[in-house]
Amino acid sequence: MISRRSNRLTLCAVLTLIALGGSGAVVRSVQAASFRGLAEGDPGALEQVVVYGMNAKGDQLVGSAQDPGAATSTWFVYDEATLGIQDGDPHLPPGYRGTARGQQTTIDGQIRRTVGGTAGLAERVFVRTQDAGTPSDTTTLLPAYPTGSSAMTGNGIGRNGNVIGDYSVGLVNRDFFYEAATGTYTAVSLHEYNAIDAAGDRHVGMLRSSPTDEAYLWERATSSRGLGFLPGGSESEAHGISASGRVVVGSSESNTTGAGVQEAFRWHPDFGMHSLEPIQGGAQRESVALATSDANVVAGWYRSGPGQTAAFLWTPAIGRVDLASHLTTHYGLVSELVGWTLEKATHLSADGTIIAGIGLDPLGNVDSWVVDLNGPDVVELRMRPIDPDASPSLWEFYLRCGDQPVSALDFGIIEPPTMPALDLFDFGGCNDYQGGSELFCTAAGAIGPTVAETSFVTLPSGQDTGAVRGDTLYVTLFGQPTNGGLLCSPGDAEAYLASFWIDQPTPELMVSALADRVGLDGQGNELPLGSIRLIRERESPATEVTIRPALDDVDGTRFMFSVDSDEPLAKFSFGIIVPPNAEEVSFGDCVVDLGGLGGRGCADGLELGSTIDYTSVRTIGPDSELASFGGRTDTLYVYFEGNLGGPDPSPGINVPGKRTQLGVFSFDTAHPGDFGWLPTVTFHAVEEIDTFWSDFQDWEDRDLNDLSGTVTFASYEYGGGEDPDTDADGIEDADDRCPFITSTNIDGGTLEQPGTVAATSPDGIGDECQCGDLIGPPHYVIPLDVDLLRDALNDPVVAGTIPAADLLKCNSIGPILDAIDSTTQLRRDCNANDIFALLRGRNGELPLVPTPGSFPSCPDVMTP
Amino acid sequence: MTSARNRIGRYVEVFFVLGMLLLVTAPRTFAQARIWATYGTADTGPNGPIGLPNGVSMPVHLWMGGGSNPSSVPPCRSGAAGDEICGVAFRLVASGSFEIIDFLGNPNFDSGPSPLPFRVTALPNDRMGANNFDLGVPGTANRYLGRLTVTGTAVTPLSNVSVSGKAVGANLEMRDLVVENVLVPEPTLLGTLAAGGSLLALFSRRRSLRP
Repeated sequence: MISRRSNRLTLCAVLTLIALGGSGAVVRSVQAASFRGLAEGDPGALEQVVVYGMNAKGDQLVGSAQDPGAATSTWFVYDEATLGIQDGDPHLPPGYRGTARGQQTTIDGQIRRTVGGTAGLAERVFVRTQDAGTPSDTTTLLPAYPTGSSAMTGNGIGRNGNVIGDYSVGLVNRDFFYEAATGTYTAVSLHEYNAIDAAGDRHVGMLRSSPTDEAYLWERATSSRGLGFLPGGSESEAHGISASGRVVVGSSESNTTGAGVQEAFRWHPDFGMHSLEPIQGGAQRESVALATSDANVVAGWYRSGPGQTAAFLWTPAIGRVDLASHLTTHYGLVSELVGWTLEKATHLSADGTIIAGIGLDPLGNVDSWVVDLNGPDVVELRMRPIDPDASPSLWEFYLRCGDQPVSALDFGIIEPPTMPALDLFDFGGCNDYQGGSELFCTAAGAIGPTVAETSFVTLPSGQDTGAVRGDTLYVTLFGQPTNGGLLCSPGDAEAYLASFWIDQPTPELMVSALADRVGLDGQGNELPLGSIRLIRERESPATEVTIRPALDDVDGTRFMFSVDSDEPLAKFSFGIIVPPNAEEVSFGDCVVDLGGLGGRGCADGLELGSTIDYTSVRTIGPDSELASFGGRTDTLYVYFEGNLGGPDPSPGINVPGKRTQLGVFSFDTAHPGDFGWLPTVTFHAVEEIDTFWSDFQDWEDRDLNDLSGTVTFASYEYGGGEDPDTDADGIEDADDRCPFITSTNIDGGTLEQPGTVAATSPDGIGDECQCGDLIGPPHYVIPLDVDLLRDALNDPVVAGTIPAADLLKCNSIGPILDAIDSTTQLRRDCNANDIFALLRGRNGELPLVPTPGSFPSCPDVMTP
Repeated sequence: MTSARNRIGRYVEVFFVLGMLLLVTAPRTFAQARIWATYGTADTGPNGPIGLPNGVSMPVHLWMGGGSNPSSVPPCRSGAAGDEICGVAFRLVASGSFEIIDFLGNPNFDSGPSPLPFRVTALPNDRMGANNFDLGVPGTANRYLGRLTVTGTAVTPLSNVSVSGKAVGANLEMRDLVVENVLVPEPTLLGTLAAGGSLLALFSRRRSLRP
């Protein structure tokens, strides 16, 4: 199969190159990213910035730096929101200065902990606590330990305040674990602690045990496990742990490196320890993994030459690559990286999209750097209905610039397939009322003040030429000279561009393949494809389908589809207009071969459901027979159905009010990334197909109410990257009540990840997974959960029916006491105060789901 | 004599200082949280149990108080140290001939924007449980819990309605409610019963003393 596909790809590549005739079509990256050296800033700012810690969100970095004014070192906090560095020493008691080593925050940023070591009057551990809602922030020094210790420092901290660090007494140096809830230190000889997870429950390092030193994972101070060695090795050490505490990375001897040489490893509870492939094109195996996300991303360093190291990045999709090369090749960070040497990647955010490390800046100074693979804010073009109910053919276009000025913009507007050809329209006063392809613009064009001129191209019906479509109006807008030649500038409010009328409803937007670009910036340079987002706004009741490049997409062929609906969808359909020369398309596990042999990997009615629980997926097309149903012949229609025979209410395909990932759409083509071949979502003809083929239905909610005519609009984004779904449960982190834990594990009776030690107390991770989600699915707190707990408070019989594992999820305040309350018979310290916290977190709203980011699910999970 | 008085004086001084130290270093103690009943809807304070007349299904009103010291920071948060009550889960037990007929929770117990109703469960053997929470900003004033209807037919001296349970304090700590009776038979009835009992006993004794 691979061989056959490769041959086809090669053939198509040759044919397409011939067809293009050297027209200059180029492969473009669809991803965007930003790179920044932390010491960049105003003269007199902190110098020699070294990052020692990054929180799970990746929005704050901490470390030490030189203060050129005071000629001393200080600790700092770098805030991604402001791109600014703040001097931390003023927060310490008089006479102290510090080095910050670690930081953690809750998902919503409400609770923040920073740890480090002091110098000056004494070498102690400092903990800075910043809790939203409290009168003031505090910075305290932990008690000296043990008596007579001459130096201490904190090297990592969890959100619960637990700290790892080290101390020395005389010639004895030892690492310690400090448990905040009890104020106790644990220090065991031969234990070395290098990293702690976001919750503060697990930490990793090495257990020295001559003749072997072994990487180890500790669960607080109570349990531990050795992680082993790579084949042939007898020494290993863990250097990093993911935010969830699930994945560990480090280095180990192996039979390929030989004694004394370390090779990077990744340890996963389900798969054990494995090595990371060497950098492509090289045999360098000496390497150390320093950081890992929960989303299959690992970072570290490898031996790039004698006495030299270079930062690497690893994912299952791309293998291990040189980070600087990867950023240049796939993210276009060329000028940003000129002069830089990225020596080590030391930190990753929980979703793997933010990477920090250390290197040499263009002046040869030691400096830390940070890469945000999410990139800068993108350009947004919005097509907005004026009055979707009364006038579904009237629209307005708006533009927001994001981080860069825009002087020209190109896009396409696709009409529904039921019309023979692009017929009547009016864009900004320009129309083809006269018929034919000649356009006329009235003097008083309905265009915005920043628009200078427009141009249009339409093709006769049936005369598609590759990616250029006959049913599409191609529009180019240019900026007004009186506005500096710009359509909009960074920081501008949303700019009105033009009104639009078409003689039929539901036109759809796409990137303009005709112009071979999406637009021009203020200097006339082409905007990269990944820098624009096309949005057709939705009407109410709201359902939005989004396409974005998948996190592992490197050539513009893999896209993540999500649905965001206020409706509890049980049956839902949409179409994906397939690139014209695609050889094979797939959605989830359903593969459609468009080559000469044809074939479909998912037969009608075949249950796939690999990406969504309780859901079957069916597809139709692309197929010429679709035309007889009124459908598009170039479109793969996808039909989702929730498990209506399952629990009541049916879990359906989505969580209302949340953006739920449906799956990845991908295609094979001879020209990955080629312009204009990006898929476009369409709802055209879905209802018509439903009429002719009963197995394919349009939209119904979980009570089987027909939603036709209400779910009509999609939006799609080409840029910005995929939102992370760390636990791969189909609910993106921003909307996921349990962003680091696969929710389905909860119903299986496992509180946290299988294969690992379950958390024994609230840790701020998992939220409802550990505080209140008793009944599921759905896997988030609903009123029934709270009602059950309140009934249990009243009635011991009810209390006795709740499994102990579920009661573990009740406790949100204080440590879990495995005792039975004599009055309520509730166990595991499930008390009225826990239920109070649960209720207050949701303020009694129905369903009991908080607005993402507005407040934590369990506001008091950190209360000792 | 003089030296003995001086010694006593020194002892008093030492005990005074120690006592002050104890006062200063003692942890903050909360006033006891308790529930009481009133005949009418006006609060008359926790003045002990009230009496239930015989033979009627009588509504009484339940109140709760936890002390009068307000928190210096918003209550129902970590670090608040006042007497505010953020939630309550209590159980009523009727004994003797008392029977709990109904409890109608105060619909405005929760001062938050969407008041949370009481959750009430009737339990076997003349018992009931109820709980509710204040998701707004509770004060230190006594709180009206709701209307309790109890019948007391064929009252016996051992009849009562007692209360127990837990309160959620301002620091979200769990506080025990004072376990006590909130309803007993009406005193006059008890007196009559007692007098009647005495007369019966005397009559019985006089009959037994007859030759």
